[in-house]
Amino acid sequence: MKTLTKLEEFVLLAILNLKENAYLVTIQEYLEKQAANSLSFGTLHVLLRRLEHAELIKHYVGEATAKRGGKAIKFYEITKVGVAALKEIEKVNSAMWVNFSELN
Amino acid sequence: MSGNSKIWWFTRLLLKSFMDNYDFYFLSGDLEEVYLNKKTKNGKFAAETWLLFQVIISLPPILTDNLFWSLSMLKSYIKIAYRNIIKNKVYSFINIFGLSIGLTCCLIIFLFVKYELSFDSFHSKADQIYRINSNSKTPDGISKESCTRFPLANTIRNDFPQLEAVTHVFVQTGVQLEVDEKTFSQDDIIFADTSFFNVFDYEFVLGSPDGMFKNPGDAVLTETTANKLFGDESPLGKTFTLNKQLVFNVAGVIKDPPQNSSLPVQMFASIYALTNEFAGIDLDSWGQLHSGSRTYILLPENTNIESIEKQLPEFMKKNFPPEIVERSKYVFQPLKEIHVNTEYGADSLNYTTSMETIVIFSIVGLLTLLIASINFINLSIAQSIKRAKEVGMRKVIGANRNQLFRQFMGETFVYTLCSFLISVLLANLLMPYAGNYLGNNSELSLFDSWEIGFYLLGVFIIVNLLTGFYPSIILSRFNPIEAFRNKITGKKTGVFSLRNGLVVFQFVISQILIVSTIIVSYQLEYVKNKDLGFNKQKIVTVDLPDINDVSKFKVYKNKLLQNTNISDVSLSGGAPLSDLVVNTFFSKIPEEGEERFNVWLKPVDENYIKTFGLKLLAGEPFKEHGEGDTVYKFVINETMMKKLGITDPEKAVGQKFKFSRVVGQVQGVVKDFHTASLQSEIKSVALSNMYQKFFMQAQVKIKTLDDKAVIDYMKSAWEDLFPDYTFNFNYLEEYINNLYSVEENFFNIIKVFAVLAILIGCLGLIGLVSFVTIQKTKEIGVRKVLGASVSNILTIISKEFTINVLFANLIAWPVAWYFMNGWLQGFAYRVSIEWWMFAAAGLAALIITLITVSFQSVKAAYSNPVEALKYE
Repeated sequence: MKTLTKLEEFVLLAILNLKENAYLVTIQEYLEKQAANSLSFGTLHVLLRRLEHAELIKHYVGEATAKRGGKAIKFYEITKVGVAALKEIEKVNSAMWVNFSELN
Repeated sequence: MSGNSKIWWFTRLLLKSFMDNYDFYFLSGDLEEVYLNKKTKNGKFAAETWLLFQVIISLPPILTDNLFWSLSMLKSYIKIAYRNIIKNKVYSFINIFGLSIGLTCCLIIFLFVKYELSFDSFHSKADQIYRINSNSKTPDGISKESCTRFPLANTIRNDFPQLEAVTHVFVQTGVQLEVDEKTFSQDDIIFADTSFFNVFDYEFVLGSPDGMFKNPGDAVLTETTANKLFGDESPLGKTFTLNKQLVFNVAGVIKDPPQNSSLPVQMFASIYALTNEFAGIDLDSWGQLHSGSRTYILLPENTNIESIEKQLPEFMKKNFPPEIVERSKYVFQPLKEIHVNTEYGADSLNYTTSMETIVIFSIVGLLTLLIASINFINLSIAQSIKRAKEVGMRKVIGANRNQLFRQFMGETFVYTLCSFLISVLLANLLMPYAGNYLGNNSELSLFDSWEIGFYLLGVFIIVNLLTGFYPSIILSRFNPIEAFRNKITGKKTGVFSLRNGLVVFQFVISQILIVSTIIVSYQLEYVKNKDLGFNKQKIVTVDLPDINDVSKFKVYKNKLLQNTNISDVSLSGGAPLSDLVVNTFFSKIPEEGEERFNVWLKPVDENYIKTFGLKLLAGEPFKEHGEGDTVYKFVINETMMKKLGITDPEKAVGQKFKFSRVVGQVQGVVKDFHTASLQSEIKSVALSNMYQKFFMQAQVKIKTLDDKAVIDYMKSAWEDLFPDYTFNFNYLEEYINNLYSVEENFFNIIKVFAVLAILIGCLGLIGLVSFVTIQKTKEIGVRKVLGASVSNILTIISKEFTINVLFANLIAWPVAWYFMNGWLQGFAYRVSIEWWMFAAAGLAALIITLITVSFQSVKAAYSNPVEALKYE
């Protein structure tokens, strides 16, 4: 499997952390808050679509709510493949970051 | 509700066109959620601004994503398209071949039109250059001339100091050059003044345009001419004589100028070298007009020609006597218009093409392309029925309409690309022949300039949309359930369905072209075979040298008459029908008012009437011209007799009239003969043996089949008598036939297009019929089982097409009549349009249609009904 890009990694982590409340708006807010990375809805939408195509995440449709013009929410959750990919990334990351703490 | 505001409408418009519905539903929900939050927190304006910004910055990633997915689908589409092309070979061939023909025509015509419109634009200041023409009132109407008098240029230069430059040229053709004992005949010589190269651009290879022609001995040669005269030696500084009168030094050499010029040139010489003797007129006088003399002006940049035109009346008043001011007027004609304006075409130096012709050409080209595209559409729709199941399957699997639409557009793309490549190759291969055939001999190529690339791209896109759009819509619309139940049969929705309309349209165009072909060919036959009133067979005309020595001509004539194969020789100012014309006027005696009539004077000798077999109605032919003759006797034609107010030829003999400045007497009357092409009426003509100094031609009637021996004899006799002049001869009949070369060209062109239109139409028919028969397989089977004969079935299949053709004919006939009637108006002598011409064209179209239809339908009619009914 191809290594995830940083952005993909962030989106996956955001979904992971948002748990049951992961959809486009919250993911966007989360990324802006945690990573200071303000993505447009379009970019994020396309990213999610690709991740879903690669079967790293999947979506389910929530109940219709009044607060968004009566439209339902498309929630995302991480699949097993997604988790595996994150583990992989984590391994790579810690391998790359080893010895970093010694600098301080 | 926020969903209704303008900004939401805009959002939907932008995003929905690039996303599928499912995605858009959730995305718009997400957007709305944030929008509503912002609205309550920061107000409506901030929220809307945010939304707009979001939508706009979201577009690029969404578009890129779209493209990414399309590209991966494209591979599959192209594969499917390729399989389809291979699977239906006949259909694909018809489609690609038909479209290629249409495109090739369109490309060739584009090049032709581009060339015709490009005349003179190689001069960098072409838009600021104007030619001075003169329009003057004559007894026969307004005469339009592009030549101007010699002193005009200087007068204009003095009176219009705001002009950047004024240049006067004198054009000569057919002169003789002498270089070290060797003689050459030379055409297209321009005598130019010092301003010439300030106005016109020519690329100098040797020498420079600065101060050129200041010295009366300056001459500039084109590379070709330099090569011809001096071979490989450097021509600079070399000397040559022109017509044994003028001596020139080569002061410069220019690159061969482009052919698309209204001023064809092979050599320039200084205009200051001209003498009265050489030009044949008094150069400083306002009285005489030479057809080779022209004046051009160069406007300063950003100046309007109208500001100059406004001053013209005052200029005229100041410089000319009142009667001239009243009679004539100067007109400024933009340089680039010269080629496409035939009004002044009579004394044009290069051929002219009317704007009308160019427009007709463009229309014909577009129509051919349109017919080919319509064909393509028809075939695609017919073919689509076969693919209903494929569409159904794709839809069931999950393809949406957009994707299917894209797929079929993609297939069209493959077809058009194939046709396009073929036609670009074909057009380039055919171009040399086409240039020849269209009569402009231009060396055109599709790969000449980048503008053509744009044009090609434009045509490609248009053809793609034109041919792909409608069929793709139809195909992508199919309902999968109906498709699987074989319910889609491409049934017409009404009598005038679009498909039928398109077929009818095709037939209308080919019918118009067939009718036009018949009428034009009929008229041309008429024009060529009409009795012109004189004998044109086996007459050779020889141009006499430019020497004023009639006795020498007579020696030549007598020498020719010694040959037993020559039956007659006459010396004259030109054959009965000739462009050598002396135009003057006559009036009655006693003069009735101011009435003057135009007349063409034919200076002739005593043999003329006999040589051409002119029919003398009354009076006597000319006798040999004697030294003592002082009475101006004329043999006039019937037209002139009628203008004199006389109806009986016998009574006309002896009548006196005023002819130019002398008093003339009628010696005889000849039956009217044609003096010009049949486009113009017969003019008043007066023959006389008094004007022997105007002799320009010898006409020789040959009575043997072995022309060559006689012409060799004529040539050797010529070389004995006029060793310094080249022997030039023409067949009169050839010259007369050449008068109609423009019409001949027109005929050639519509002939080709009629054939092409019919060919493309037939290809389309073959395709259509084959699908109609497939649709009707069951019907045919049932009918056969119930006892229908083969001919019954043929009738059923042909009926629809027959009705289409007949209907198309009804539309086409009035249109064709209108255009052809207009075209025929250009001829003073013309055939009348008869009903049978239409009937014949209609019948031809019907027969061609039926043959084409039966081609396919016979197969269906003979097929075994069992096979047909099994088909499901």
